[in-house]
Amino acid sequence: MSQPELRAALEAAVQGTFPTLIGREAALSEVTEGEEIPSFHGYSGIVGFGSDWSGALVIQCPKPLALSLTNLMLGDGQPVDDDTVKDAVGEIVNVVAGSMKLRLSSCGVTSSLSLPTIVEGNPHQVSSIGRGGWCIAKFSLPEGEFLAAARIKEKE
Amino acid sequence: MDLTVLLVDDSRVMRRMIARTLAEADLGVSEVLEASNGKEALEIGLERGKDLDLILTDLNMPEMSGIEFVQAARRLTRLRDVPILVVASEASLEVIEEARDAGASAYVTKPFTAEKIRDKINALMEKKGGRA
Repeated sequence: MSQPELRAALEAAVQGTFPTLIGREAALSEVTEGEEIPSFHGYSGIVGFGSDWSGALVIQCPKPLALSLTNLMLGDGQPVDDDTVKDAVGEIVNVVAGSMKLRLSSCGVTSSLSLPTIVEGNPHQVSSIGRGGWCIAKFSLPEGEFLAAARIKEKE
Repeated sequence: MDLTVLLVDDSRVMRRMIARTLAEADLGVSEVLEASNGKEALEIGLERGKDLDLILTDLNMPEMSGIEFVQAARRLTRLRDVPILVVASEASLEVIEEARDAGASAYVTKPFTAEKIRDKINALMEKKGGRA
């Protein structure tokens, strides 16, 4: 599993998911590789990759964008509370992770997915045991920017 | 047609999205019941199983997964013949086959379009003989 393969899977999963799930095209604005994900203000949705591989997909949304995405997903104009916004971020990362898992399988990665976890904090940092290997992509929508980061390693 | 549908998904947002899709698809859904995992769905199934026309379930859920729920539902007389449409984020053939082996009737991958959900449900209802 090379970094270019990981990057391609991450980009394709995000860009393949957002138009149908949210009704928005997610434009890639920047991709970097990093030792760790930068500290962040807002919500982080996390799904872990398990089985023979370990890693995670993290999607980070500032709170105003997360609220906009929730309203776009629901599309009913009803007011939403904080728990509903967290639920929406969890579902976004869950669906992107499902798409990524399928794309990674074509690179020989056989993994299982955890349930999504949401972290909230101003600021907070998502770290992995064992540094390095993060592919960090920034995407833009008309409503704002979000970050998607992925890391996956074969278990020894 | 007055269909009673059970939605099983741990995401409240996803349940609302699917419920809205059902309402907009003009499928004749008159009642939507909701459960946030397989265990809750089985409890509803035991109580209301004879009223259910269709079940839509996620797979990756806490307490009891969708696969475990489908397997358990197929062992219950009241749920044995109710069509079960899996609506899940995993799209690998392995997972789809696992769901079918467990007893699921059809499979839709998230994110879904309203048309895909409508077409799958129409096909299931026609197969069941519920569509005039």
